[in-house]
Amino acid sequence: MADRTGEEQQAICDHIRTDVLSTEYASLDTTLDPPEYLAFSADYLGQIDFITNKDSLSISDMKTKWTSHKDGCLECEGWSL
Amino acid sequence: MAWTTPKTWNADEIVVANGAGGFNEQIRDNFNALSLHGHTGVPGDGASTLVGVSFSNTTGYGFADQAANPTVNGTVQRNGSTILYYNGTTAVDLTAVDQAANVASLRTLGTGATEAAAGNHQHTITFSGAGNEVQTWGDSNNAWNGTDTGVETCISANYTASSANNVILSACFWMGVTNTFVGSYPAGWMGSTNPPLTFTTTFEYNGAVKKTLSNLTIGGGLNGGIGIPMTSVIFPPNGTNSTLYELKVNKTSTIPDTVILVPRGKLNISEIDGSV
Repeated sequence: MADRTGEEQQAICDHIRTDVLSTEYASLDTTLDPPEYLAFSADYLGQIDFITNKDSLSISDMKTKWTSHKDGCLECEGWSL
Repeated sequence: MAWTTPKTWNADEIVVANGAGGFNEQIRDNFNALSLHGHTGVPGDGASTLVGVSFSNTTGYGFADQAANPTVNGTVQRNGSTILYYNGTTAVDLTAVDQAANVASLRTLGTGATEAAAGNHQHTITFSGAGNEVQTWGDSNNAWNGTDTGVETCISANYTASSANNVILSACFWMGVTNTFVGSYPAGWMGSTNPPLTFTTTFEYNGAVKKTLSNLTIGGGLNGGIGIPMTSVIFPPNGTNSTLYELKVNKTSTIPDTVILVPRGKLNISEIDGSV
C-alpha cells in the first residue's frame, strides 16, 4: 500500500475523534490543570495510536472499540493499530 | 551364418537334408545363427550398445571398481569406495559432502560457507546506532496571538544518511509553546489555558508527512509536564541525499487573550544500521 499522506493521516485522526471515540473525547475535563486530553496519532505506514492522560480512559478499551468499529468502515480501511 | 526365415511345412511333405527348406538350413544353420551371431547392429543381430532404454523396478546398480577417476566427459565411475562424475573439467566425488560452493554435492546442515541452511533456520537482525545523528532545538520564526490559528514551522533543516542500504532513520520529537507577552499568562512555557489550546504536530521528511499527532494540548504532556508527549517514527532514508526534515505545529483552537506564543520543538534523528 502506498504511503499515507499527511491529509490522510489527519483525516483518520479526525474520523476516530468524531465517529469512534466521540464519547471518550467529550468526557475530557478541560478545566483541570493540566487539562485532560485525548490525542490521536497516525503515520505514513498506516498505523494509528491513542494518547491520553485521563486515568479512567483505557487505551486498551479504546483500541478494542476502534477494532470493532473498523470492520465495514471504509474510512478505516487500511489502517491498523 | 545368416538367419533364414523358418519355412512353413505342409502336410505329408518330404523333408530333405540340404538345400532351401532343408533341415541343415532350417535347423542347423538357424541355431548357429542364433548362437554365434555378433552384435553388429544388423537387423536381427542387435547392437553392442543400448539406445533409448529405460529401466524400471531397478533394485540397484553395482559399479565395478575402476581404481581410477573418470576422465571422459559425462562418465560416472567408481574408484575404490567413491563414485565420481567427470564434468569435463573435474572428477566430482558424488559421495563427498560439503564440497566447494559451486560444486553440486551432498550438504550437511550448518552455517558454514559450504553447508546448507536448515529449513527451519532463523535470522537474527541486529541494529546499531553507529550512523549519523542530529539533535536540534528550533523555534518558529512567527508567533501566534491567542486568537490566531494556523501552521508554524519550528524546525527545518537537512539530514544526510551515511548509507542508503540497511539503514533506517528514527525521529523522536517533542513540542511545547512559550509565551513572551506578560499579561493574562506568565512569560515562559505555556501551561494550561481556559479553554485549552490544542495543536496538531507533524513531522515531515523529504516533503512527506511521516507522522501526525492530532488534538494535542500543551499543558498535558507525559506526567502532566510541559508540552506534548514525546513521540517517534521510523522511516527509510532518502538515499544518501541531503534531505529536508521539518517539525510543524498547527494551532487549532483559540483563546481571547493577548499572548505571543512561539512553538518550540526538539527533534532527534538517529540512524540505525541493521544487518541480518
